Amino acid sequence: MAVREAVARRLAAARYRLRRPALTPPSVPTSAEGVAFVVALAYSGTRIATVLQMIPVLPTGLALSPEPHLYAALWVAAVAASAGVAITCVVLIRRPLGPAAAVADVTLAVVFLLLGVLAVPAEDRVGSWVGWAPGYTLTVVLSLASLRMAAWLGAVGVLTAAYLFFVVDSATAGNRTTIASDTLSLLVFGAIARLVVRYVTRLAADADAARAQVAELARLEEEQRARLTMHDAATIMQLLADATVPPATQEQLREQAVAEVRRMRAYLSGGGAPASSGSASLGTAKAAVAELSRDRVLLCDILRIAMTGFADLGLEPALDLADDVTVSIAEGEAVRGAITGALHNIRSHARSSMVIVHADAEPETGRWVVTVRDDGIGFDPAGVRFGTGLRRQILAEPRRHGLTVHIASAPGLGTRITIEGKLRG
Amino acid sequence: MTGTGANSKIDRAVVAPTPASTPTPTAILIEDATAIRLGLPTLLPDIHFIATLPRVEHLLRTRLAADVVVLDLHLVNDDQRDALQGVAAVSALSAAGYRVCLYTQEERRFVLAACLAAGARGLVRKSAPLTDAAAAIAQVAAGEVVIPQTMIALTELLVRRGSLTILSPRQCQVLAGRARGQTYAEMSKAIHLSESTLRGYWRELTEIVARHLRETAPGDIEHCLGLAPGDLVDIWPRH
Repeated sequence: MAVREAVARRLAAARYRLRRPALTPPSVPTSAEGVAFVVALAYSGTRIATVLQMIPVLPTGLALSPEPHLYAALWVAAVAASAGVAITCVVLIRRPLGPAAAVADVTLAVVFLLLGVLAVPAEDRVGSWVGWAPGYTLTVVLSLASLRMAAWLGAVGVLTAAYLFFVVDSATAGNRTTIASDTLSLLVFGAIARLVVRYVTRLAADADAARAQVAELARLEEEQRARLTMHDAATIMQLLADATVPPATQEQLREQAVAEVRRMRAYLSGGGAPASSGSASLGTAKAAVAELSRDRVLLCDILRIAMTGFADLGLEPALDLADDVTVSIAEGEAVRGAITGALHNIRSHARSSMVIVHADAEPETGRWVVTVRDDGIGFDPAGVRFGTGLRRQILAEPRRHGLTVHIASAPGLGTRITIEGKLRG
Repeated sequence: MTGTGANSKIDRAVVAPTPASTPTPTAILIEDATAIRLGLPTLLPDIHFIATLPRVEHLLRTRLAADVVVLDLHLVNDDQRDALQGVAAVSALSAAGYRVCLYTQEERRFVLAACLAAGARGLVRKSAPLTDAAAAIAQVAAGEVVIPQTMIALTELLVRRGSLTILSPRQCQVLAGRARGQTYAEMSKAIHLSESTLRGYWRELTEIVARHLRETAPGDIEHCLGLAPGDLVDIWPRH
């Protein structure tokens, strides 16, 4: 139960994060979709920043350009492309450009560099925003991070070559270092951006996969819980419908059926997950031992709850030897389910006259041991296929919580179920 | 069928003649419910009920002889409000030399322990299968002590809490097995002793337990059961 609650809490938190509006970075979900949006936002930011730096030098550029009309046309095209990319990424698709759009983006940058040779004087192509094309090219390189390695290398190679073509005529002894540095910037910043973006994208994808896995585990957990719960309810209903069941047993069954109906109504009305398939919930035991610990319950209380409604079986409880043994709430729920399931099985199949429920604490072995023994007809464990009750409720559930379960039976010799766990405290 | 005629109430007792020679154990049933008084002898053909009586006082007066007295613990009803019952009835019958086997639905183990302390030699639940009831009555008739599962658990508690310390390790093993519902066959396989040897250990053990309960102070039992001091004073027999 505790596990289920923890999983539910985590799922609720994850769903809450995913539902929150994604307009500002703090609100963006940590999913792959959220990371794609943040990357798109970063790409758009670099484009807008570049445009903001291009604006002040426009008059100077037009004045210095040998081809002012071409300069203006290229400038307007670059600003329009930047705005288009920013709007597309942030508003329309909320993710970085796809491969086809990236090719167009690279092509446009190459065109700006090649035609820039005609529009920008050679002396203004390096170290000045009059020659804005290299700065624009850097933003394009940064936004190529999503491409596969081969495509990325090809695109960056083409842009670097175009950059070198743009600056080759302006190279002097004084600015060669700057040209080399700018060329390296294209390669290094591009590579770093690609590394970071791809890593964060992979991280988000892993987080999504983990969330999906948790959701699936929670679904399986709930499905299993429902199956176990329905198993007990089905057993009770089946026996209630059996006219040959003795009156004493019918009385016990009615008591259990009322508890089942109450529990299922609470579940259906959203009052919480099904707490117990027995006649009483663990709440009683939890309250009784609240002073002991917040997350432990008395084993004896668990066993008494599990035995409620089975007086017709001739129960012989012997719990005193374990009267101070505590178990975790999850272990207690597993033990309760197993004992209740065992008693349902005994009522349905064993034809016994007495059932001993014995609990013991063995300090010398550090174990507690619960034994359920009936004197019924028994069965051959190797010769029968275990149903949901035996397989999941009695064997699998306690084992899932680290408890040891053993079933021993033989035709005509009754059945013994032993559940063991570690003593704590 | 004969009545003694000494008391009008005794006319309600049913006394059957004892066969000249019979291997079946003889018993006297003391039970206030007429249906059970009339029905049980028919349902347990392997026990020869020589008399069925509604109250203990009748037997104490007539002193009929039998191997065992099968006694209901609750005998007071509207027709016999002053009937001796419970632990006092067990004490009186034991003091008169009868082997008492309780036949009751009483489940409170401190009451059952008090009855054993008062001298009861066995206990059969009314809900027990007839074959089990017949077997238990026959065992008590043969001189054995028959303690119910509830008392087996109590005995294990007495041992583990240091009240009963004189059991041998083997007897403790047998006690632990019986407390967990193991059959003699299972115990025999586990501890490599024959079933007859284990039954011998069990017979010795039950005698020790019966003697211990007769001799122990109620405070000891109160401690083991987690009862408050003095809780058993009124119910525990005074020897």
